[in-house]
Amino acid sequence: MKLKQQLPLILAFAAPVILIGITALTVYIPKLHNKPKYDFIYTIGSYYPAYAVDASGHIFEETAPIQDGEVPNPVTKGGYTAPIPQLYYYDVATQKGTPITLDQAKKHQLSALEQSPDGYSIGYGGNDGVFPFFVSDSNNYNIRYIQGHGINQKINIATPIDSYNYNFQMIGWVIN
Amino acid sequence: MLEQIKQAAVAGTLTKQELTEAYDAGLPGNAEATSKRRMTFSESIQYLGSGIVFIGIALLIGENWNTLSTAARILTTFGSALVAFAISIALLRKEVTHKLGLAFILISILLMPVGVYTIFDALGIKFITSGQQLVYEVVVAVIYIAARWATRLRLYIIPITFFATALFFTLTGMLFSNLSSTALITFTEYRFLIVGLSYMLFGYFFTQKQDRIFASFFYIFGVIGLLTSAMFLSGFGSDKNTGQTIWEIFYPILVFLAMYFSVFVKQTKILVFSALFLMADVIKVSGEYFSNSLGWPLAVVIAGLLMIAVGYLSVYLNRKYIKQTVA
Repeated sequence: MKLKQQLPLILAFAAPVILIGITALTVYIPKLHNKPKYDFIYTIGSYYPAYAVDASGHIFEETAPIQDGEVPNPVTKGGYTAPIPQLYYYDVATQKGTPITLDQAKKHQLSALEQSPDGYSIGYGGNDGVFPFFVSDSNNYNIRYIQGHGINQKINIATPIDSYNYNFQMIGWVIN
Repeated sequence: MLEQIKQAAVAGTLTKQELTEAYDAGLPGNAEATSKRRMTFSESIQYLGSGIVFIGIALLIGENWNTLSTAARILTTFGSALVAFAISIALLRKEVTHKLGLAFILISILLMPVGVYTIFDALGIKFITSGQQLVYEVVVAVIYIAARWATRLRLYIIPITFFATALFFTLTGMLFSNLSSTALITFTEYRFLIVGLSYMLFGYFFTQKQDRIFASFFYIFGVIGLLTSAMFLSGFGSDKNTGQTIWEIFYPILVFLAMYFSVFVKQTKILVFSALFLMADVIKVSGEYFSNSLGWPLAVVIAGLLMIAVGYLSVYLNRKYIKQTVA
């Protein structure tokens, strides 16, 4: 068979390989140049946020007082209680989350905006479906990513997240 | 007829090569081969019967899954697939029973993935990880490739293609498992785009080999994959990012390229699907941009007029360049 006749066949097999190559480049090259600079504080352990950031950029207890290791539901203000959330400080350089106390968190000035000052945000992970049945809801609530400027950096969350409660709560980016 | 050929040659719609190929295809030996590719009514009934047998076995297994022993499950699925394959081998040897053999091959093709799944299940492999899926797809694809090699039947190209495509999705999903939700959606759209493009190229390969059935098969799935994924890449709604805007602009160009390609390979099916996707794009763009500025009623009128134009263009192209030269 002539090369001209075989060319479509060669290209048909080459196209998926080229896609893999291009995707690999677009995934790994931005990682070499772009790195998120701002650490952040998050909580694990409750569906409802128990902490928030005030206008001056400092963390405060949204629902007070915390009693008997449980926090009242801040939405309904009723008798329902949720487990007390644990605060974590995420160091983007070492990519590690360390448990901290509320007093330690109060020492930092935070930004509660969705995007960090250098343009990164926190996103969900994805669920890849099985060919040819791809599910429409492809969020994986067990995994979080730092996204932006072409990078998707998986957050190494210290405690396994309960997927039913998807209880990771972003509190704010550490400004200083 | 010769006068028509002369006119077609002057108009440039018929080349010497096409004429020679058509003449060669009409020669006694080749004409028989061509006629074999046309499916008769009785063949259709046989293949339909194969499908019904498959559904029957699937229902039998499905309803009695818990009561059947592991050995019985494997026998009814994988065993049936092997028996159907063995019968087909015997039938394919004789010219009289050749087509009946193809009906049994179809049963074997449909049952084989179920059979392999049952064996995997019996071994305790529950398809939880991508790696398990990958192994399953490789095993089934290898069985089909071996069967294709043993029987020399081109029918196996279809299941091989299906499992090769599944393999591509699983493998790329594993390679880039560290993607976020939004990145994964875009990546999946690009994966479908590339699969569509590959299918179109396979179609062109079969066009060159004068195999219109396989060419049509790959063109239909190819054009659907290509244009659907490109439409998703252009996004829905007027709030778009840069990539989506580029795809929005490129989309009509892609559809017109598909239309040009349909004329080039003389495939009405590509033209029909291209026209349908262009109409869908007209509605989508009208809804995204004109419904707010011009209002919905006027946007619908514009969309309707553009759809009439698209319809007329496709009918014109089909009559002028495809039907005329194929006939």
